[in-house]
Amino acid sequence: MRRRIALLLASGALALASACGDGGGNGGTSDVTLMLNWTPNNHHAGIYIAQANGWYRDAGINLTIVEPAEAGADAVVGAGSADFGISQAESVLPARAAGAPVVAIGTLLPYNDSSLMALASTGITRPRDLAGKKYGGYGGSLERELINTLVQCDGGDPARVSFVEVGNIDYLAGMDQGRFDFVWVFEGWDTLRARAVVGRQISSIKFVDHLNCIPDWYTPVIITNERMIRERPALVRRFMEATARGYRAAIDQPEVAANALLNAAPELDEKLVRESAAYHAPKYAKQGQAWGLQDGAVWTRFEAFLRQSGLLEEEVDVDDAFTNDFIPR
Amino acid sequence: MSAAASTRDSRFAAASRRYLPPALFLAGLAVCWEVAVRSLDVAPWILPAPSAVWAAFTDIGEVLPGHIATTMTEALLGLLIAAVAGASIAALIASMPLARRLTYPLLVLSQNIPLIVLAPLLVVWFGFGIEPKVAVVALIGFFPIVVSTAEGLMRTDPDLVDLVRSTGASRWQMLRAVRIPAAVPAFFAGLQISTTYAVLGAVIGEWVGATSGLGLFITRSQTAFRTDRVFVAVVVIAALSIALFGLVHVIARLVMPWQYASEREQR
Repeated sequence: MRRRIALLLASGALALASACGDGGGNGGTSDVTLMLNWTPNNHHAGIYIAQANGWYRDAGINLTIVEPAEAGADAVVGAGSADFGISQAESVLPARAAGAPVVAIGTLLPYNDSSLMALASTGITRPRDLAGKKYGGYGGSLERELINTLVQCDGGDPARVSFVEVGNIDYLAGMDQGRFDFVWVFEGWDTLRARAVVGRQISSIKFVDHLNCIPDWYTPVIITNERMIRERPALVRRFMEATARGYRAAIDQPEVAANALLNAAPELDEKLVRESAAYHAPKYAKQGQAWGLQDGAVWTRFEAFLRQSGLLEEEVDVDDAFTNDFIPR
Repeated sequence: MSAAASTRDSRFAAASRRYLPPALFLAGLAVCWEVAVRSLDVAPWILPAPSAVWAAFTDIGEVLPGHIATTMTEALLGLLIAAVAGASIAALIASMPLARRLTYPLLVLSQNIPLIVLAPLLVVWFGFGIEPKVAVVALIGFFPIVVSTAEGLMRTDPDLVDLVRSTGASRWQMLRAVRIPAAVPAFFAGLQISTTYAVLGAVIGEWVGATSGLGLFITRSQTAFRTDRVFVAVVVIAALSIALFGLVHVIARLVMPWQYASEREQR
């Protein structure tokens, strides 16, 4: 009697838009949004140091760091909803091919820190050992092309590698259960977690050791919108100066980097963050080079590889996809 | 005095009759869960035992209040907008048959757009502040309120409507004197359904991109493969929903005491 109607709820709903109207700066301070590529981790350390020390504020920037859940930052930055984002070359180029005007303005690491990780008990020590093993991945043509090239290059039979899509699951658990034998991870985060935090016997094939076969590429990179570069270059420069200062601090004082990151995201595993800070300190910039610099030859080789793997259907002009103009030297 | 004491006793007895069985049932479920996980030796990342969830809660508890404050602000604001918009649209639908025919298909359509389609658009439209989260809660929440309230408005006792009409009342007077009082219980019935989903709606909204909130806490826990913390968030979300539901119930009692008085008499 009292309740006549039972209703079900769909997970969707229609938006009745209203204007957002978020005001600009006040007193020379600009509100700036940076969207991360993932949960905060040591790749982002310099940004959190600069934020914690007020270096963005000193540069007239009121920075908000937003964390994504699923989709990356490219579409959001391309649409101008975020001023800056963290992305990676393998999404910047397809995003540009699709017309999103995103530009990489600095790399967080000078080379790709990715690796293929396996339990030591699998006996995998080099790429050709992957033949006959099962790869647990995210699904996509890039990973297929990379693994095939690596195996072939090392004298193995790429046709004997099997692929299974597993998405974002606990890779250690999946390997323990025998659902797959190896995964693609970041050496300075996931491999470190497995080795130093969980204490497992792990073997890993680092991409950077096989650059004779596969291209290097920049991941993660800081991206912005072409319009920002055109209309607010001074802001972009100030942002990158504060960020570069943060990364120089992370290089010199890993414990400062770890503390800044742990303060901003106390949910993170403290041991992993501290180990990773020490791991990354010598790796944020190449010896004797400024932090953030990108090499056009790296982009060119990777762009060709993406086309070969089918992730890019047409050629993308890499000169428009990145710039070093905003790296302080 | 002894009469008062016995009233209190009988009240206590009534309350325990009412709340003891569900409490015991829940406690029993938790015990079964704990025993099952331990005896079957289930790995913690597949299903953590209640004791492991509790340990995670005491371990990470201090970061929760900030996340809870964010999510609850989004949920409450969204509900408020849903209630106001829902009641207004219901009034329009109930008073104009044409409006009903025009808007009902759109209302149903509005509940069938997947959030994965909507989420990136919400960011573009509203940015990363509280707005997209409030929008998700309001969009999920307004539909039950509209349908329930509109039904209530239209199902008013026809004899009463005829009687008031015979006094020469205008449409607005009819709405105020007859239809709205008759629709209040229906409005609250709809609001209670919306309330059930408000916290979850806010959490889903935070997946769009957030700087704080339980949705962000879940993402951070998932990327660290901390299933125990994910469960902490699930329990917290459930507890907040129950609290919010209770609050709406209390408001309903205060707004329409007659409804609950007549119910008691019927018992």
